Amino acid sequence: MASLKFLRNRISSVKSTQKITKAMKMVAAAKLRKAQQNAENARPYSEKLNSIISNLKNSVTDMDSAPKLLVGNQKNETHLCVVLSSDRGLCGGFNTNICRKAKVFFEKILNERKTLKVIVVGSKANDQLKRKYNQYIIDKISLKDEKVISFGKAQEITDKILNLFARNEFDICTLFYNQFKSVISQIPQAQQLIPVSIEQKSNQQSLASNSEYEYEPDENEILENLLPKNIATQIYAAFLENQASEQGSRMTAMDNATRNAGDLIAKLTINYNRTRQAVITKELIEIISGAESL
Amino acid sequence: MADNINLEIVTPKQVAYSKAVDSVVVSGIEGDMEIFKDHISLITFLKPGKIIAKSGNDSDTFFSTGGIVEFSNNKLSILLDNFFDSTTFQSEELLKLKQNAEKKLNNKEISDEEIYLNNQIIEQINNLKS
Repeated sequence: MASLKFLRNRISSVKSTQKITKAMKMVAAAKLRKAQQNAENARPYSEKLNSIISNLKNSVTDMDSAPKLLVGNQKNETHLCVVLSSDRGLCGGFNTNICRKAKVFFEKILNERKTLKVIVVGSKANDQLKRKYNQYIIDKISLKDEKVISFGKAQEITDKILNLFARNEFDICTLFYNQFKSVISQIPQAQQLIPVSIEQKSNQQSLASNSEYEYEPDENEILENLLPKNIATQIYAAFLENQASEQGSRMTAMDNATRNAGDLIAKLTINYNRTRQAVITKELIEIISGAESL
Repeated sequence: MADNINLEIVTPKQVAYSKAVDSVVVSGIEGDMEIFKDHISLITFLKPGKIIAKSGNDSDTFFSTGGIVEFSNNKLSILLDNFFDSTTFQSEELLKLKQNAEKKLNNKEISDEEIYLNNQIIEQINNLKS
């Protein structure tokens, strides 16, 4: 049986771990509320933008002259994948889930003998993907110096993507992130950015309201300005969702850790008390048998 | 009231303003315009400038450096890149935007359109301050 001193040390170390996980849980809960608020606040903007674009898309009749970002360049050869992750660990399956989703997609593309290019955002995705897919990673973007994700960061990534697109470096761009559903459930998402995919449900609505719009300047010019903005908005929205998911995931993970630490402490304490009692009994027996032999 | 249009101003950060108003003045990329009830459905861009929402004798003034306006079925949605109301006209952030624009103007390689837009930003922000 382990010595008393060993058990005592063990208990105090688990206790301090528990304190840390508890604190992390509280911090994550506080941050979660804010992140959730941010994500919800950003939703109307991206929804509006989406509905405007779907309206415009319906009114574009001449597909050949339409902007490339809308219709793509009619090829399906090179895929660009943007994987959004966090920079910090200890958040349960958050990063693993995104990476798993991304890996499945990568394998599919590679099996079809298409070219794969990957941009990783946040160091955790890089850590998980570089072992197997290092030769495909063309860019790494760190979030270390950003406390709060700003629209500027989303813009920066967008500019990179658009630059690549302008140079015909890829045909289809897909974004991977975690969508925040609730504190305990985050769903990894793969969203196609280029060419634009508009959700079907907004289509129906727009067909009804597809009254003649007056465009100033004309449709294509508006689209050409709007589409890059749309990509930036979508990336920004994905960032915010991701952030809320990260905090939610961390909160659950830390809650579990705290509970596990509690269980462990209970077990160790029982063990400690039994050992102590055993030592006392042993000493008593020694004394009594010593006295008897006199 | 029957003469109202629903104005909604949204930015990437929040829904900044949502109210029924009589008319709205915006500075569109091809000229300023005032939108009243039953205006034809319209989509246009904004250039840097003021947005004035009028209802009765009251009016609220905002400033933005750009955005998109969509009007349909008497619902006016303005999507803005950034948003300042009258209480933040003197704020640091605006000053930063102006300095940013000035910096961009010093760069010789930008297009005429950008020169125009950045000049507009500076001019409009100067207007606000006075």
